[in-house]
Amino acid sequence: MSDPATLITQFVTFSGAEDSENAAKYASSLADLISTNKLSFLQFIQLLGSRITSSIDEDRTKGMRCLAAVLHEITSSSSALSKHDINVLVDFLLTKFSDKPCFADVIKALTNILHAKAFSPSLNDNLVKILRKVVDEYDSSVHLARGRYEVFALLQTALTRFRDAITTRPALHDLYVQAFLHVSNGEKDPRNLLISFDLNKNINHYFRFEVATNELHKHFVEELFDTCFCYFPISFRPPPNDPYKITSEQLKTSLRSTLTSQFLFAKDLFNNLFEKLASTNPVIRNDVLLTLLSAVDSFHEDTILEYWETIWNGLKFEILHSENTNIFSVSNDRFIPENIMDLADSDENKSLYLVLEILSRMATRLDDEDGLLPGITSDLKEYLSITSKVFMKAVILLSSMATASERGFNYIQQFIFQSENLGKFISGFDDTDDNMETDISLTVARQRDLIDAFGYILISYQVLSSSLPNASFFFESNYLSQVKDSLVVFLGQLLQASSTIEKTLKCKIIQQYIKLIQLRRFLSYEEKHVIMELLNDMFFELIEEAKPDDLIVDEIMKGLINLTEDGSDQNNQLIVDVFLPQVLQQIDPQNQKLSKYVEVLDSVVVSSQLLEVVSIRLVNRLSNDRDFNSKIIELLGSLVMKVQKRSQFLMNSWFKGIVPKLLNQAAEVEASGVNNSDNWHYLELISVLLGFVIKYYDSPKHQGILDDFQSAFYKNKAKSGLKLSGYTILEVASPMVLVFNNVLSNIDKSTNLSIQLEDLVRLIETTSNLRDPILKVNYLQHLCLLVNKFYKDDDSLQPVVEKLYDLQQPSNFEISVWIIKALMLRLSKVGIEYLTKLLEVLDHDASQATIVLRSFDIILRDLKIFSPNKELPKGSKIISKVNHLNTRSLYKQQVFNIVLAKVLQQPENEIHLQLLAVLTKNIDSHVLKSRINDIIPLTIQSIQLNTLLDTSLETLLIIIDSNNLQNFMPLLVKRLMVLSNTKVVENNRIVNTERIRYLSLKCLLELLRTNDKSTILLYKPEMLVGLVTNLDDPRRSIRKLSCDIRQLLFEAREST
Amino acid sequence: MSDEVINANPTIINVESLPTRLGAYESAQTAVKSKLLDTFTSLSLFQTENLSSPELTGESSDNWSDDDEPEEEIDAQEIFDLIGSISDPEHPLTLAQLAVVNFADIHVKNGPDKHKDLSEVLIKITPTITHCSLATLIGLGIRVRLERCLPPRFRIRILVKEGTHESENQVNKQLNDKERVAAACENEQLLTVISQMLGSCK
Repeated sequence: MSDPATLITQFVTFSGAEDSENAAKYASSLADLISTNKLSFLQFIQLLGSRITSSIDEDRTKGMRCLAAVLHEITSSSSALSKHDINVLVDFLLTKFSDKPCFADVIKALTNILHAKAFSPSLNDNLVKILRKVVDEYDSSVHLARGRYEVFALLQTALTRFRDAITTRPALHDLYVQAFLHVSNGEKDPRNLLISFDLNKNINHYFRFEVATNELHKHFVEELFDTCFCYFPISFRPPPNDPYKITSEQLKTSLRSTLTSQFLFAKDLFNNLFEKLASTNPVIRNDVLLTLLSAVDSFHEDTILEYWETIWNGLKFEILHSENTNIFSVSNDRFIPENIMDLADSDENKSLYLVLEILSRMATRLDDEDGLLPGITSDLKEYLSITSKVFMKAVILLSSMATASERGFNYIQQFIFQSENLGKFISGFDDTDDNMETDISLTVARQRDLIDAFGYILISYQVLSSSLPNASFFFESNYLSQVKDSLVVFLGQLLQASSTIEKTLKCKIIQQYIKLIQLRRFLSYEEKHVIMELLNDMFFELIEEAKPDDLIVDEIMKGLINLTEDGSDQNNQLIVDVFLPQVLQQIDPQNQKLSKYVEVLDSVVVSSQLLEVVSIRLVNRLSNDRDFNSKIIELLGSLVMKVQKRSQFLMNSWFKGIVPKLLNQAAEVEASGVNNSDNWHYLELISVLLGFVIKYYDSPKHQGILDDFQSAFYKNKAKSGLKLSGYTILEVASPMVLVFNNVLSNIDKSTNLSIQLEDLVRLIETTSNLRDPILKVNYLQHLCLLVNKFYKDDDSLQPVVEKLYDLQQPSNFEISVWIIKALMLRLSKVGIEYLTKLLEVLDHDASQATIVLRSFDIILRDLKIFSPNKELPKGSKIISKVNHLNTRSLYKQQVFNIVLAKVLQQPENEIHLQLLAVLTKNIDSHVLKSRINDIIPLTIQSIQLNTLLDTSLETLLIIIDSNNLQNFMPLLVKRLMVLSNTKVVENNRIVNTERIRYLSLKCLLELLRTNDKSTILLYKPEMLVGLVTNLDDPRRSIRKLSCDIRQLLFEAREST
Repeated sequence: MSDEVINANPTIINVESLPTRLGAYESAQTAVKSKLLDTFTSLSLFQTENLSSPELTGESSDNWSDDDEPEEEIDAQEIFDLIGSISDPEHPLTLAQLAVVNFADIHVKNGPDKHKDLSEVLIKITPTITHCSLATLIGLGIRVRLERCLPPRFRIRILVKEGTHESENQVNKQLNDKERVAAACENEQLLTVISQMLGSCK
């Protein structure tokens, strides 16, 4: 193993490209021997000698490779190489320079020598010798990419190792550049290009070129530019198995940074880039613009100052002559989107954004200079007339550049508001000539343009004020603030003076008013107040004029919502002070437009701050008019839901302020007798709102709340603080149970309700005697809640259920079903035991099937009292930390699995199929899909039955994209066609009602849309003919679907 | 089709402001479901009546029962919904958006007995400009759509609205001549264009 000759042989054997790792191992062993002096370098060369001088190309190459590899190992780790060794080696390797087969390895060996500790550039002039050899004898056209790469690597290593020497010694300096230019000429390989760009960049960075005095240097700079710009714009599509994983983006950015790494390139660069900007290809244009952007960022201020006019003249028409400037909408918050770099290079809009970005960065860089701003403003002056075709584009250019700095902002605004520009339009701001007549008539179209122009100016304020690190000086001293009074007055006059038909103009003014209010520290609160009042008056006038769908009303509403959404306390206060009092005044039972105002409140109130105010005032308006009251409570419920969804807030204060009033209302309804659906509805609305308040009340307070409600509802103890009278709902049936249900449903599950088995028994007795179906269901839900959340002693409950579980006693049986539901929800053993019992009934007593099926429906049905926080986004935690549910998320899956096992035992049993139908109706589609292979045959089977069509068709719709349906296609298409176009009657009842026909057609439609069409298209002729009957169906929905299916069928023919 | 656009700058109507009945069935279905008290009654284990499929009295005939499912006659709105969403051959817009098809210009005459008598639908189209050479193509597209979507008892007449086209009579003749329409429908190229127009139908 340690015999050097063997090691060399082994290296040579393994040095094929595919086993280079193994070879490296032997090279490293050899290097070890040399560095531990067990083998001298001379001996090693002698051993290698016959190979590196062999006349066989392959032997020579491998020998040279071995030398390079061993050099790599020893130079990187030890100082085994003496100066003498180096001199001899360099001379030897340079003689091998023209040996084409070994070229790459020779260069690699040279590169490795450069790493040697003993190597120094001055030693024997080795570095000069190497570079000179490269300049004189290297011909890139005869070598492969790998060989060329090694030469680049050699140059790179030289520069990294001996930068100081190379850049300071004039001879070496020029020779190096010469060598680089020689090497990089005509390169095409992407990996080599990356390294070439990198070297070019480093030369620009570290080398000094005296272009004014040194002709050679001038020539160098020109060559350095040409040698990289000739690739621009670079495009590259990586081959499928590229080992270097080079991307087109890498090449692009590398070239870009090279081009902008030398300020001496500037003149040529800008001229050439603007020439390329004339291209119509957006990819090229974007590349040009990104390079310009990089230039503006990296060149020195002096260079930018020298060339700003070139850049400005080259870019301004990109905006002024563009037809796509409508992407800069006045309703945006900024001119340039934050993610422009993420936009695709093929996106034409990206060019427009980039132009603005370049110009505004240029303005930022030249902020301390005096040339730019006067230059661009005088240049744009002619376009800044309202009659100019490019007026708006000039405003966009100016406003966007005004975002560059405070100084630029003030300069540009001062220019825009000069009286000969836009200043003349806003009265009282005529600082030069009092008598100047505006000879331009301000048509409505021009008024609209003017408002948009102001909009852009406001955007620049918005962008700049949010980007300044310390904006307080800006807020106090900016020029726009000086003209704000005139601007506000001008907008106001235009808003009031313009004809009511000019809705677009008015809407635009309203938008800008809202924007003015939203600008940071621009208007004082009093000024905002005045604007708000103006909008307010207009709003209520229009609503009173009975134009509910008016665009202006909508615009004002949108504005109000914007104001409440922007999170500023002052703007919220503005709405509370100005808008709310007036709208709340309209909330009156007698008001004809009550529903419109309710709608207004429903849309405008989006923050908890506003809701707080609105809720108190609305509750105070509750009157004797129950219809009115129920609108108010419904509104509150919907607002709470909406606001909680947007941003959660605690409702602690509601409990004291609003809950007593709600309870008072509930008590009034109860006292007057809850005997119709309206009363129940009202009571339900109250209870739901109460439930919300409790759910969003801090969880530590919940035990207290529960105790209070329990003693009021069970123990007849009035609670004056809550305005709650006493009840004994366990013994005396009362609709107030609905209220208590919503309390129990929303209360934290960790609370305790002291309840004994006797209490449950009393409740069961009361419930079983009830006749009113609604009251009874409420009592059943109460029992269900108690068992699910508060009474956990299942063993003692079991005998009670056993007693009630008697199909001969319907009322008792119903109660037992609800208890089973409560137990199943928390997957209790007793629950599962009775569920299984219920299933067994189907086997021995078919007459009870309907009742059993209904029972399953009740057990699985989603109820409001057990529903999760639907108002909150999935997975988000509730702010009050209340966990109100005591249900297991997998309970339905469990029931489903139990029942499905049963059904699969006897799939031909019709009752079993009915049971499955009940299940699928109440179960999420993903649970269903998890057993799709079992479900498909059962569904196909139940579709054949007339009794189960509704649910089986719905199930079919859920699983319709399954490929396994293909086998059933003949059966399926035939049955669905019959159901949709033939009257099916059983027991004197129509089987295929409109809904069934609708579902059948929907299934056919989805089959055509989702599945592999080849099978279903076999039935196309029959379907086309059969569906003609449906075209004359009495119901429109059926005719429509038939048209759609026929259309799909016709299209299928046309495409095949 | 030639590259040159005949009317490069037509007036466009906002889709939302067009009359439509599409989606009415689906929204009616959800409205029923959301009723508050229905949930309470349906939760009773012993419901008295079955809500769906009312019983038929007497012998069943071939027609759907009149009381149960009242006839919704095919009317102008339905026709408008069928043809309004056809795409214009030269703009990426629908015929309704371009006001080529207008609700007021659709007349439906249902026969007294739909099983015996003929019915008729008359549509007057308004070309966007008076020399529109595509008027016949548009008319043909409408005819194909209606023939596919209306029951066979309907006679379809498509006319150019009076005074909106230079060669009104000629176009009208072409559009209502059975032979010519049949011949046109056998032209593969034409049929491809028409199926593109109908591709956008809702």
